[in-house]
Amino acid sequence: MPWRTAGSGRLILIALSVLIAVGGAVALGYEFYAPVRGQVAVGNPQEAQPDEPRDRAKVKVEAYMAKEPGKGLPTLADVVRFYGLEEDTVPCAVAENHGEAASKAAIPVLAKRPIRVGEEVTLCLD
Amino acid sequence: MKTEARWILAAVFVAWLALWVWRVAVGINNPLAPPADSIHSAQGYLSTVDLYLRHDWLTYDSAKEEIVPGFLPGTPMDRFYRSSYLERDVAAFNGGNRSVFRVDNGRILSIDPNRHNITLPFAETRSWKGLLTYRPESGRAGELRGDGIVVSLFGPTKGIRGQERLDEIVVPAQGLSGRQRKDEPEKRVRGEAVNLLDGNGATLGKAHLIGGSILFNNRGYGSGTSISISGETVPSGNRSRIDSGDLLKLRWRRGAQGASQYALLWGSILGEAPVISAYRAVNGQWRRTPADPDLRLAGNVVDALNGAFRRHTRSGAYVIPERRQAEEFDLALTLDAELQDEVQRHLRDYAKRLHHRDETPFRAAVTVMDAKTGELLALASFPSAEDLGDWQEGTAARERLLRNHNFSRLPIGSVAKVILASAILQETPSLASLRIRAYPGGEIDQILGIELDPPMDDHSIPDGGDGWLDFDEFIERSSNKYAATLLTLATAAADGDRLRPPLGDPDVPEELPFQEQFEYQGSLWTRRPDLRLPIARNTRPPERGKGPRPPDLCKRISTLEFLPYAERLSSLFGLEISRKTLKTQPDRQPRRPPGEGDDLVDTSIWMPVLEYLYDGRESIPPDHPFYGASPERENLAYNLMDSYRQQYLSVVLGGGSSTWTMPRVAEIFSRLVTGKQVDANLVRRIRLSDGSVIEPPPQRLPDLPMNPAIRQRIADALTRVVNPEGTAHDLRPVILSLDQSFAAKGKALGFFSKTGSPNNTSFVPTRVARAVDALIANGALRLDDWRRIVYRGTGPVNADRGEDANSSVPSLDALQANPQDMAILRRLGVSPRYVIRVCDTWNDSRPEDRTQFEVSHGKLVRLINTREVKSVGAAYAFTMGLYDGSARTGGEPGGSPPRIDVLHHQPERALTVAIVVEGQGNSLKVAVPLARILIQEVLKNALANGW
Repeated sequence: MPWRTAGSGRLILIALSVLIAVGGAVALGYEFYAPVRGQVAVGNPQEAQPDEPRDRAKVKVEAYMAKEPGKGLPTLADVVRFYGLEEDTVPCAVAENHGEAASKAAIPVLAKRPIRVGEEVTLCLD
Repeated sequence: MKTEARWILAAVFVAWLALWVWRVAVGINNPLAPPADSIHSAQGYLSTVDLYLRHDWLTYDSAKEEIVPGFLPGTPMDRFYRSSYLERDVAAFNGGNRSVFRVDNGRILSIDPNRHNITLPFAETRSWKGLLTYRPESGRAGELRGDGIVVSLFGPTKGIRGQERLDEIVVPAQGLSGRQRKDEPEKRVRGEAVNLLDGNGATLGKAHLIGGSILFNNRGYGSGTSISISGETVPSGNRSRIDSGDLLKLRWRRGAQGASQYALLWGSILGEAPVISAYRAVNGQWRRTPADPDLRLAGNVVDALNGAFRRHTRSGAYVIPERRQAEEFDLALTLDAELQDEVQRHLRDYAKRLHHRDETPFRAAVTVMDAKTGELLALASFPSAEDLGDWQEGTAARERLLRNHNFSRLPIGSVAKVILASAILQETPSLASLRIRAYPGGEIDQILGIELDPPMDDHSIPDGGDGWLDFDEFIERSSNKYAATLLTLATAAADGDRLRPPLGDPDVPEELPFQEQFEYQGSLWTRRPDLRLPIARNTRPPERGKGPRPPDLCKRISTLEFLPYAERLSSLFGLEISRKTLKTQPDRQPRRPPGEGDDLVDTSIWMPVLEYLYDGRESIPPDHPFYGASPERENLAYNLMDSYRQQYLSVVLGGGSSTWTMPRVAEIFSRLVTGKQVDANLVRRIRLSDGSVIEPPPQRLPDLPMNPAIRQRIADALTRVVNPEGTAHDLRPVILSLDQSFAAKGKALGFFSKTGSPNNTSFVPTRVARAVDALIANGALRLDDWRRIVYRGTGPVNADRGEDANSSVPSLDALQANPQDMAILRRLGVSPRYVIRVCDTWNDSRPEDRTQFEVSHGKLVRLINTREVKSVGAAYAFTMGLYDGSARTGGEPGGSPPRIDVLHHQPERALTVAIVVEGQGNSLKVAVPLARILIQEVLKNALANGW
């Protein structure tokens, strides 16, 4: 029979390799996507969240934000006032910019420390 | 088969396979391999079109500015014309796309060779991949946009808490319970902080920018009010950040117990240059978005840039240098996003109110220019595709209407008086002392004793109480008669700032009629000075014994091209007065001169882009593709004028060849007010992919070479146009109140304007005249010794048959037998019998009645047969500048418009605006009210706060 002479050990080797490759892929979780008709595919539910919390905002400090523009650099308290935010958000803003470690006593000092123009600070909105 | 043979066969097969794979792999990556053809050029079509042009089967009609086919229906030429691209290409050109054919000096040179290129499969289509943006702004702006509402926010410059009175806007409700707002105009508000109100007038919240986001402060305390940002609830009294792409949902109750209503607003933080068109991946394909930008001109700009990248030379090489091909760049226009949007919206609303149902749509355009730099800030045009609906879809007439009409030449009426008067007074300053007698309105049938046929219309001009009309009153009240007198006397100007004295002239009566006498340099002139005019042909009967025509007339028929003041038009304003006469000042880069084939379009506004793309001014090819995105070129065609009334006077009345694009009018007004050589430009910035920026060189513009006293005189006269006697008196209250508000801040408003109501008739040769003129030029028609018209040696033309009704008419038979002459007649659609009859009428007339043809030196010149073309419309051009208070030299804040010392003061900011509306009424009724809306709603703020 002609086909008996055409086959060889190598062909079996190739067949085995294909089987192993397919088997391995299935074992690793690769599969064909076969959606079922009439059924909505279920995705992975995810909660969309902004990178930064919505009650924080980063702003660039400008000279005109100072309490009295032209006389000294603006402070964090000035920037908070400039954007019309409540005074009681200042401790939160200090904590955001100087770390949670800032002691209660240091908060008024840090809030009134001049900030370089162009520097970015984080403000608490509420 | 033996085993060895099998192995040999297998080896050969494997070797062939390896070789093939290697060739493909190397071929793909081999930089030295010749490029495969990626584009199929329509060579056969191009050659056939060349044939059409060489045989004049397609000709350019200068009068109508259109290409007209000149072959008979049913011929092979007609069949090809209709079945190929050609008919559509001609329609596109006639529809306003001037880049399709290159026309020079009234002749079609060629068709755009790249117009019908086909990109072959698997070939890369080269295209421009950059961003097209509006003018870059100094800070980032934010926007909340919903259905029927736009809230624009810009960075606060003073504390939010300190802002006592905030701008407010009522948010329109959406959904089924909301009102149907289909035809309601969009609500807009712009400010540093804006209060949003619900339908009951209660505050929902306050929005302002904070850093790179919008801050929303929920102040909606009513029951049934709820607010969320992208699904997250914002409790009452709380603030929250809105980023680009976030959705603000506002919900409230209508009345105390009413139905619930809501509105959705999308937040976006705009980049420093608002995007007009971007190249983006959409569903796996790269394409430009939006596909149909609001600014229709943007489509032309993108087409031009794509065209530049794809353009081949005949040898197959790309026209743009390879290294430019590799560099990507973003292009920022000078157009200001907000000004463009606002001006376009107001123009559209206004024009739609003027437009009556079932009326043919009309054209309107508004240009806003920064008068100090020439940057075009807004190019608003009406109508848009939306306004036209399905009106004449797919026709050239529709395409023509959809162009940006700032780039179309349109009649501007009396606005041209300012331009011409400036040049005339610059050349002959003493003519500023000209005064003419006041006159009642109506038809004016003579100027300085020259009879006008047809008469010229003029409105009634009240005099200043002394019976005379001077230069300032002429501009203020827009006197046509004064303009015509000034233009006529300009031809009598001699060296040394004077008029040539009267000359013994058989045409002129010894003394001018009382009404035509004028005052010049303080003395009364009762005789006409020696004019150099193409006086209309003399129709007086010939005097026996002296020959048929008085010989002294011949020397006065001269071209106007070399009039001294005409050259001033060129040197002051860069205007062309004839073909190829453009001159530039030696100390500055020249405006792009008319190159081969571009005498219809001026692409100077694109100069920085063209120089960048083609590596410098010298290497810009004449057939670059920016013609579709550029204004038409003005040309007063002084070299072609041979009629005083019909052509020369039409120029100053804003008709005839005096048609202008709005950017050019704005440029001229800016030059007159600032005294600098301002050039209109549209390119703000080119930013390369490596971040480097190419900007036009810093604006240190050279001075306008203009007599300072004359410039001040013209500026003062332009200020008077809003006086109670002026033609724009309706604007007076607006100007006075604006000046008053400026005066409170130690500033002054300079307002220089001129109205124009083109209601003029221009005269173009009829088809019969063009056909007969062509026969005269070919030598087919000439005069014999007895001054009878002869056709090609067949004896005097006679249309009458002999006694025998079957006898032939020799001239007609000969004409019909001549294929060359018949081709001319066919092209123009004129019957040979009609031509013969026209000539026969001349031959049958008595010599003194022979007025149908112009004859010079015993030779036929042309058939005098013209048709009227009406140009009606409204135009208004003005420059408004914010000056320091010390620039004020006259006028009281709130009492009369200020006079400004334009010689010693430059405006801090200035805008020049040119408005034109076609065929809807005169300037006072149409253009001035639009100007008032624009000043009150848009320009006032722009001037006070900048752009």
